[in-house]
Amino acid sequence: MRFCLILPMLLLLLIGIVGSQGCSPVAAWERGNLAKKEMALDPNPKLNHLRDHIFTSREASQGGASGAGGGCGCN
Amino acid sequence: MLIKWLFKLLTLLLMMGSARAYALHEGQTAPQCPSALTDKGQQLNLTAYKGKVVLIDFWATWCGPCQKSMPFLNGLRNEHLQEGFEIIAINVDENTEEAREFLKAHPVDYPVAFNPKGECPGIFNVEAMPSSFFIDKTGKVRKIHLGYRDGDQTEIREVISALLAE
Amino acid sequence: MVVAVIKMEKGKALAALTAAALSLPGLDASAATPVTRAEANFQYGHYQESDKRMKVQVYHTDTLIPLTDRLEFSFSYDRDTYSGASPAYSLPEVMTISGDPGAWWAANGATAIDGWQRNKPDPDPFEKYPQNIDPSGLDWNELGFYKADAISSASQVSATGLTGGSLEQYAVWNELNVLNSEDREARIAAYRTMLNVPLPNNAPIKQVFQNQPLETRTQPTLGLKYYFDNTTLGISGGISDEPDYLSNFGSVNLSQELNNKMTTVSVGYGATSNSIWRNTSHSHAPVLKATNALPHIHPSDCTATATVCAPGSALDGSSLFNAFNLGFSQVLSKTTLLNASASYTNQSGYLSNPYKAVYVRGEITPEEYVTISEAAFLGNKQFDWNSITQLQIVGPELFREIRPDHRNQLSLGTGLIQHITLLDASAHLDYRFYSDDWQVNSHTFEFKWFQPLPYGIMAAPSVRYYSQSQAEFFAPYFLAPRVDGHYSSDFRLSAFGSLNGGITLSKEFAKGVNIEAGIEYYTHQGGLKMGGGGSGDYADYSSYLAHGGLNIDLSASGLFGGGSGHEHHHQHMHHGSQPPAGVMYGHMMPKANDVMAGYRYMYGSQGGNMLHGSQSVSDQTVNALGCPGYTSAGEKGCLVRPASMTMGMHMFDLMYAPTDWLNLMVMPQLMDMEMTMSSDLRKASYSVNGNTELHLSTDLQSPYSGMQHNVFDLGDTLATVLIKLYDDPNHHVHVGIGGSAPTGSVSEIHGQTAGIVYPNPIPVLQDIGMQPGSGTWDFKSSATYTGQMNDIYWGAQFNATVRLQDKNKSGYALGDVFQSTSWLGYNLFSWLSASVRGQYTDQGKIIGQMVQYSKAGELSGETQQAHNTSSTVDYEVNYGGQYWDVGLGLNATVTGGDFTGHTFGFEWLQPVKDNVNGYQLTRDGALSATWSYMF
Repeated sequence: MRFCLILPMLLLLLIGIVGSQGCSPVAAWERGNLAKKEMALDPNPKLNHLRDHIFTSREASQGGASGAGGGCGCN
Repeated sequence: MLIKWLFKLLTLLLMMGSARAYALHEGQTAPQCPSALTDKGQQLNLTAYKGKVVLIDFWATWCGPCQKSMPFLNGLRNEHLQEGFEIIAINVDENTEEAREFLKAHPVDYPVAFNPKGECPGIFNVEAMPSSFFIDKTGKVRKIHLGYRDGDQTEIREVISALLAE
Repeated sequence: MVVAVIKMEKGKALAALTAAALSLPGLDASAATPVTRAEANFQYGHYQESDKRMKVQVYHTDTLIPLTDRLEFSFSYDRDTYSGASPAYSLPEVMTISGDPGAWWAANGATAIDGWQRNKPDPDPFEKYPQNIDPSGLDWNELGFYKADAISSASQVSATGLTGGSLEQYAVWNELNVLNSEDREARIAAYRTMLNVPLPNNAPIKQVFQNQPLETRTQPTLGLKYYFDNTTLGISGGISDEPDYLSNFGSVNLSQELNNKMTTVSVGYGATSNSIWRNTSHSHAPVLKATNALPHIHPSDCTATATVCAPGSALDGSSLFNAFNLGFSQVLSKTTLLNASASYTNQSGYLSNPYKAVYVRGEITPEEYVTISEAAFLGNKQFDWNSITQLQIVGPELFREIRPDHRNQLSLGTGLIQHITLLDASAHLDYRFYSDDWQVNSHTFEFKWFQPLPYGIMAAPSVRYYSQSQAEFFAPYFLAPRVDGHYSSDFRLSAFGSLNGGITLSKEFAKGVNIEAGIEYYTHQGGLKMGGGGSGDYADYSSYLAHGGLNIDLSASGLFGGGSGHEHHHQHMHHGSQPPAGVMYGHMMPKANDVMAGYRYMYGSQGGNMLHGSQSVSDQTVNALGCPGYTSAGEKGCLVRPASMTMGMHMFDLMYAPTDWLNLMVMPQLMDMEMTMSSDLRKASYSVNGNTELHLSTDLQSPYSGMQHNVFDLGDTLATVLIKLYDDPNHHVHVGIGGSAPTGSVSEIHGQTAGIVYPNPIPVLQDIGMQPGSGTWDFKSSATYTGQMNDIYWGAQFNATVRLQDKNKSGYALGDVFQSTSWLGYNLFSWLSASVRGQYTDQGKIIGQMVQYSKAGELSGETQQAHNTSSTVDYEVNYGGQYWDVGLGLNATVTGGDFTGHTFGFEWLQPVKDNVNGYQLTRDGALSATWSYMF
């Protein structure tokens, strides 16, 4: 059980460090890369839908992968 | 434990990016923007448009509402060209080539300048994409319109007409 | 603007036999701003597990339409068909037939079984039968063993598919051999011998599979999303419908952008309400006096008798899931996006899998088995199932699984998305931790790479690793009853790890068309569990998923519309107006380099009386003459006739004009058919050998009575070249030359493969009319004339389909088809026209015969499939004929707005006269609907 918790924490920490180093305000006109389809939270929803289909019917875990954000930030 | 950690991270992240630079306000004189280059590679000279009502439109190919606004802006521009109206589009794509290709497929009649490094939107403090700056005949920013929706057309028309009537 | 992409929990207690388990999404759109253009997506997936286990075909279509600047509408439709085998339970291998059964029995001191170890070559396998048994009435498997009906056919699951092997055989032998002795103690002792076979430590585990009947799941989902300035509200809802599972689901998602759109916070709630039941395929009285088998232990039958039966026999379960989601995302830099999410789901109700069984030793004592068997065999004992067990009995030591009726699930996920400017690539790294109060904990790591390549191609390889611990109440088998009464041997609740790797390639074509294709490989292994301690390798398997998709921008040329792009559409519409919707190959594109995408749906239905020639005939006549030569155990003639049949064809039409006089056309098709049989037209036959129309002598109707079967699968693919012969402003002539490739199956099987009619569980072919393909390469030609003057237009067409082979792999070839039609139409408005049409069709007779079942052939491996012969539709002579129809049609063209250039057509085709070969069901009519769009 201990092992179960340490691992995700380490990962979060790693992401946090990577994240905060590169973090500077991103202006509205600087989101060209973020606007790319492949930078979306879910770049291929159709395929993801299909894979989730299989994973959730073949594994005990369900849920996760929710949220919104990223993208071009257009008005 | 994990929850606590997540919470800390969230707080940290929420605090970031809250600093805000100075802002360009309505009523101020429009700044110059020499780093934007015109189609022919010349520095964009906004003073050349003094005496005209100018709409400066910041756009990018990756911005859906920008693309959507362009046929409307093009029509509006041609409609009022004779009355002393012009649109100057400043493209902020990091890769100017993509913008040129887009314009080839979807040409517009108004002049387009390119500013891949983004100094110009910085000077104008562009807060949204697209952003339209309405500049009156004296060179003052009179209205800043953020974003674009089809429902905005009436308002944009009204502002142009009012500025032209001055 | 940011879109709430909160996915609702999936949950599927059943997910049972189905790989087609639900993923019940909210809105799956990934756009971060409202879409500015309407789009349509199509996707096909083919999932296949190793060793001919589960196979799933997935068809998906969705459309996203911006209704206003702020309101977005979405609709998606999923249709899956699944078939194959699925693990039902597992047990120690020594309890099953494996290798030499004689050796096993000898090793376990059960020498008396000797007479049951016959292999097929034995000249007289019946000599050692107990005297009172008619050996011809027994059902033998390949090893020469009798297969007891240990699990009931109360589910559609094949009875023989679930028998465990020697355990049942021993039980049968035991009952038969010892029962007559009247020595209760001897019988108890015999059961004790059977049930107490000593198990060595770490005994190998064996999985027992059951067949999944061909089933279809349908899931329509509707969604709406409203974009405020910095807030997005999404709602969605839908239904998932399959024969034994119905879900209604809905969700609300709200997301808020903060921090100059650098941060997005979202919350969501979703509810899913499920109804679960087990199919019953036959209705017979409880069997109390078994003639030749272990007593039917299916408690569901017991409710109708004086005997007190086990609880919860008939399944009518329901469950409710409530899911809450929290999401957070943060733009960290121009090239980095971080997201984190948490979800909590509460599930309650029936969460077990109705088709899974568990092996539990010691739940029922030898004494209690004898009590049960006495009640069943002698029919003279009253007893209370509840006093023996709370579990539902499936067979000796076999029970239906039971899971807790509550489950709390928590999942925490985080992901990092990084753009790598040097390569113009994007990397996604995701991790999810999951935990529930069934004590399943899991970790998921996923890495995806998106690499743009030249020519507008995107390559996306991905790797995923998953590891879970087992549920508290999981075991491959149970050597003692559990105190809490919860049991599952479902491999999905075991401790294991899995690896999934794949690649997807997509290409963006000009004019708003994107095509993608990919393949993924998945391996499930006990040994892959993180940190070891997996549940062993007995359940290991692998699977692959091949998928292809198409994305069409529906307003690709509409965006910068108003310009020159559209004039030719209008012009073209007036130039030889669209032929009626039911006419294929009737339209050519007049300009080089034009591309057209279209969709055509044709629906036909049959019902009511049977026809012979042009005359209605009675059921008695059908029974007497419709099934030439058919007899079953002394009963003659058709047992059932079709009561109704519907056929839907989905045709996808892609057309390209390399020059102005030649068009190329490709049309893949999907077929969706359903047939329902009448009730028995006569007394169904029965004999003890089981190879007859009734399952049991006490059955009230045969399994064919009211039987409903459906097929949803790919049809044949048409490819045609259209060549313009003559064209002036008023007249136009073209011919079409092409063919049909046999991509459609001619070996669709019935769900029911049980040994009711056939001794062994072999696939049973559906009738010819239900096969989605012709199975042969066909030559297709047509000649079309169209004309117009002012607002009137007209046309005529002759077309022919000629089979190029005289036999497909199922042994027959459909008859050739010749059709002629002519029509007259009037342009009511610039955008709407109406037409009237006449059509004559001549469909030839079928050549050859569908493969027939032969026991000898099956045993030697020559014939894999059987074919029913109890209904008119099973006879080749009952196909083909001459048909006259009149059609009324409407065509509309959108002349303004975002959908300029889209055309729609509808036509109702009313049968006027039929002259059918043999005996066929009356046609009700047919509807054609078309959509097409020229880029």
